[in-house]
Amino acid sequence: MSKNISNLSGRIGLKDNLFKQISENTLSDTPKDINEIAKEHNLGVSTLHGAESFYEFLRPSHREKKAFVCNGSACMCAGTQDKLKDTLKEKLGDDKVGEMFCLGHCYENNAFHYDGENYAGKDIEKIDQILNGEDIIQDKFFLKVLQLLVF
Amino acid sequence: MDDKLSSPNQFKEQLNKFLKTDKQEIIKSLLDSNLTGRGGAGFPTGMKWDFCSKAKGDKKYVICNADEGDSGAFSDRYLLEDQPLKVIFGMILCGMVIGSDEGVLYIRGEYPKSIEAINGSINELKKLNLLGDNILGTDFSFDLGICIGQGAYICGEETALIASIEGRRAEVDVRPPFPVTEGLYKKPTVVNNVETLAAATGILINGPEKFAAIGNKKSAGTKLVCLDSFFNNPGVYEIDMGTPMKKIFNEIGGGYKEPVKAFQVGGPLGGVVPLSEIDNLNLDFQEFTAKGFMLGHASIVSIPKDFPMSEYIHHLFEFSAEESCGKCFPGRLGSYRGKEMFDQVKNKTAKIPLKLLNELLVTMQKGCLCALCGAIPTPIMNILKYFGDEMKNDMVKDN
Repeated sequence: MSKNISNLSGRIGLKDNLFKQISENTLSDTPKDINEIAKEHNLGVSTLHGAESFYEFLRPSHREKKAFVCNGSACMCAGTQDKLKDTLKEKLGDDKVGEMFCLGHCYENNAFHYDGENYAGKDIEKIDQILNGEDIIQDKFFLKVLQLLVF
Repeated sequence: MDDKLSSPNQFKEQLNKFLKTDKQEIIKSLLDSNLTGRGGAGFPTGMKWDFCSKAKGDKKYVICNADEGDSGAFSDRYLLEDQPLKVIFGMILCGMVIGSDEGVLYIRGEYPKSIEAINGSINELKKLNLLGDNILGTDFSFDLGICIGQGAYICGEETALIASIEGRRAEVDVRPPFPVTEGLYKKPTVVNNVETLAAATGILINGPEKFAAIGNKKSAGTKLVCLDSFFNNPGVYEIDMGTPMKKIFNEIGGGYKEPVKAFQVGGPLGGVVPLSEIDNLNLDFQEFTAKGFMLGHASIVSIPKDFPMSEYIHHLFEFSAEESCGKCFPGRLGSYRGKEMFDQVKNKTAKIPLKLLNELLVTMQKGCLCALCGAIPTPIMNILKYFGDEMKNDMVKDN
């Protein structure tokens, strides 16, 4: 069964691939019914619905929220996230703060995602600026090379 | 990571050189270097490119797996944001070798800056005719795009990643057939991790001998290791394979800011190594596996002394229950039942039935379709072995 779907999807191609079409449609302000996309590509609507319902970011419960705190193991062990979550809930509302698994800021913790951007470390101290839509300067992390030269 | 490929001019110079290089020479270079996949699965990269180049197909694809979802890992993120040209170069060379004219980077949605950086690099390279049709006036064309992940950890598994791009539900597929013969849209495909592609670039530019000279045949070259905030010097480090872990933690990492009792190495599916075992380990894939742990992508998550291990196990089961693709029942049901067991401990409504828990872990290890639910027993078994005492009051042994 999935060989057939893979081949049909192959006709759509990689550039404007089916996954991109489904996710962009769901995330748009005026999404069309996925029945239409299914019909366009000769696919069953259950295939598209099965794919769309799989992803955290495409679910209504996720999209209703505004900020997401990292609930990865490193931030959890560092113990920074409860306080972070409380601060964000205070500013945005109890039901407006969700979770995302690991934003890749394990070296500084206090990581959260807001409005398409990741923040971490001391960024939470500038939360009012962030909520106002201002750009803030963020710390960059470093890499140290151990041996003189390999590549 | 030297500076031989951080500007478009250097990119153009190197690409010019490699467009005239024999494909077999490139494959031999990778084979000689002993480079194995850096994402965690560890398959020899030269072999993968070789198999795919020999596979029959009118259309082939190169996929960069940039779905780095492991907690504690930010080395791929570093490469995508700070050294994107090295990753892209690796993809173009792969395309050249296997006979592909199209590639894609599957970048997780949780990394917006990585997406922006790669998009910027792709656009810049296209303007300079270093990507797209007839690169540098040759017959070779290679188009590159980005696919943005929508919050599913399992898309880091190559068959689920392929299913995701195809618009199918991102469930794991049985292998064989492997992607090198039947991958994206059932066409021959190479799926490589970000760090693997950057390492391949370095090897091809600097020569395979330097890489192969470090470590040993099965764990060769260097590895990016991520140290978390518990270390005095957190960050990404490029370290020789074979380096003693205690040197990495004490000298490079600068020791710990507060007392730590264990480390989870290699992400949520990686082993939990107690502090006492660190002295007996070197940065080596096989050594870690032999002792019942897993080096994987080499991320280090420190578990502080006062963090309850039962809570950590709960976190692991909760993670696998949430992220399970749902296809195989040991994964779908097992992770959820495991989470329930530890929910009860958390809420103090029941104790851990140790015998049942062990049976569940073995079932998941043997019966799961992939490493997500199949390997989550590894760290849990490590914790039961090394920290069983800590949890003995929460356990019932005979049931």
